[in-house]
Amino acid sequence: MTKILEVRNIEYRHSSKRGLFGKQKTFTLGPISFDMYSGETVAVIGNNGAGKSLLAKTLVGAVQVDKGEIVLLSEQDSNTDKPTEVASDTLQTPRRKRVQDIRMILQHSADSLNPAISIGSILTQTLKLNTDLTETARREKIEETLLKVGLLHEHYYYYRHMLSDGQQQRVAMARALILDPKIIVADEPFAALDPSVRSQTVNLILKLQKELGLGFVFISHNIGIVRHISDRVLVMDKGQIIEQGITAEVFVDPQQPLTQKLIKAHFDLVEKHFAHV
Amino acid sequence: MALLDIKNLTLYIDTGSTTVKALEKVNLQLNEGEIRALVGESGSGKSLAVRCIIGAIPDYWSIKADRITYQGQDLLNMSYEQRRQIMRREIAVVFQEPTSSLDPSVTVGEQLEESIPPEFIDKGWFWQQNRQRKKIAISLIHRVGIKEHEQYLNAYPHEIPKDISQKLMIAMALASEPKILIADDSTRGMESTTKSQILRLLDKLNKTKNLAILFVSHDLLAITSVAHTMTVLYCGQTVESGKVKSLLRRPLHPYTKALLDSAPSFQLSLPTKSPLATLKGTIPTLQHLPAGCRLGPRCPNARKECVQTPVPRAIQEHTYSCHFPLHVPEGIAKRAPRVSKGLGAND
Repeated sequence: MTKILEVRNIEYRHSSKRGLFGKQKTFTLGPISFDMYSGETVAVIGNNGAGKSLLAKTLVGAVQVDKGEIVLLSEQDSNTDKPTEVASDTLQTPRRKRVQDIRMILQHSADSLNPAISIGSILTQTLKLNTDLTETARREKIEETLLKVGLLHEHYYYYRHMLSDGQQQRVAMARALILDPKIIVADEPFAALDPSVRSQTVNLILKLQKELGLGFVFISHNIGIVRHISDRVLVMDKGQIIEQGITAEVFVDPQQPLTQKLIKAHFDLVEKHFAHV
Repeated sequence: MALLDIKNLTLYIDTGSTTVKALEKVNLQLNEGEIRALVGESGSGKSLAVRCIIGAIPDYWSIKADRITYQGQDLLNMSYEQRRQIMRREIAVVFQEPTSSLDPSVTVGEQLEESIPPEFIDKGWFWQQNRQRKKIAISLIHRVGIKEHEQYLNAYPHEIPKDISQKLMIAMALASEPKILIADDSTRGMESTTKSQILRLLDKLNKTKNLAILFVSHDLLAITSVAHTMTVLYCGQTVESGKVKSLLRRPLHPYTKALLDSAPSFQLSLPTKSPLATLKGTIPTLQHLPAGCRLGPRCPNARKECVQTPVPRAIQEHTYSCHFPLHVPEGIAKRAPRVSKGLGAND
């Protein structure tokens, strides 16, 4: 497996103050470092307010980091000793490449789609802003991507309200995939979905990952799904990664008290289930 | 006798051009001291059923039911005042999305004090009454497992984390010491530790106060750990109902089986990263309901007969509505006693 992403000591500080004499609250993310390999799924778990969503936003470039760098390694050069830095935050080189190679799926896919324009136009916008394709090439690309996520050509003309939850999720996925990214970052992609649609989405992600060798970073509360689809897991607390490792190992032998608590809470519920059966 | 008894509830929604049956012959019983789970995906009509029970129904909806009774009193034919009294004192509801059902302009403490019925306050001067109210509010908030009452009672809803507001909503519901608590999707989007706290709280209330709980959710892991019985809804129809134990051991309806299969935690032998079993398609919208058994187009075992609505049948206390139940040989399935249809069922 080749390394595709290197996150080196990124830090981000956010201060907020309430009222004129209010106490200043500072939230610090990081320093965080981790690597990603192609075809790998990394899950991020942790309590609310641990900075999981912020980490996702820094990865896709929606939030600029204060310190450290996020380095995307291009595939050809990753075997040589000195990796070529395609884009990095500190150098302020065109962030465009990185933004195209790391794409995000938001938690509420329904809210992130514009209700006033058709699915085709939503996807066209993405292409117009990021590529130099011609009209016909764009059209071809969109249809190809729609098929890839299990939708039909006709959905080009559909509007958001005409699609079910699962289909909206697929459109969100199509919008992420249309630029042929190397990594997809998803913030709670399963939380708002129903069980049967959730299984379909999980299957779709597994299928696409197998076909395209995507790296997939996702944040989830659902420990059952984390255990099922992730290769590696990062546990976050108060802006720090407190534990990381191979999912199977972390689940068998969690080191940190928080990890133990999260995993135990889940398995207690599972045990109660099997007590019935 | 059942505390809450719903028989053949049909809810008609007027969509302008047509009338759709959003709920079709739903049966639900809640016995004293029981935790019943109402399971279903979004769009299955769980929340609609809850709104029918509490009577929060807009003009363009109409209800037809053989009975909706609370302790033998007919909820449908009682006066508005009587119904309000029951809703105020006996049945409490914790709505979905605590952040949106709390008033953003008032502190949580005030909202909590407002939900304490006036009968609980002794007569006295207003400052004495205020003090009593405050005391009750603090004891309520302790009871749901929040220790830092000072910090949260004076806070506005947007300042409180989601799990705490969920607990506060439960505290408000408990203020009137109800007999029934309806918890509408209380564990949605929570991480596992908070979820098990809320579940433990519900379980404790059930055991210590003998509180009957209608637990509305689609989180099977939460349901199986806390509920005694469950009713599965699909698209406005009751598909299966019975003890949690027997439903888990032997789901008779294909939909229940699909639901159980969709949770990877329930299958120990499933290798990681393997595809999950799932039904094709999604739940149909109200405008495009299929005829007969509404699972029909998605069902792996569907046959010609499925365009007829199946009659609910029972094997012991396990009720199912399916022409071709799983695990039951066809002869026995046909012979199983029908659940009495009651009046007004043949429309």
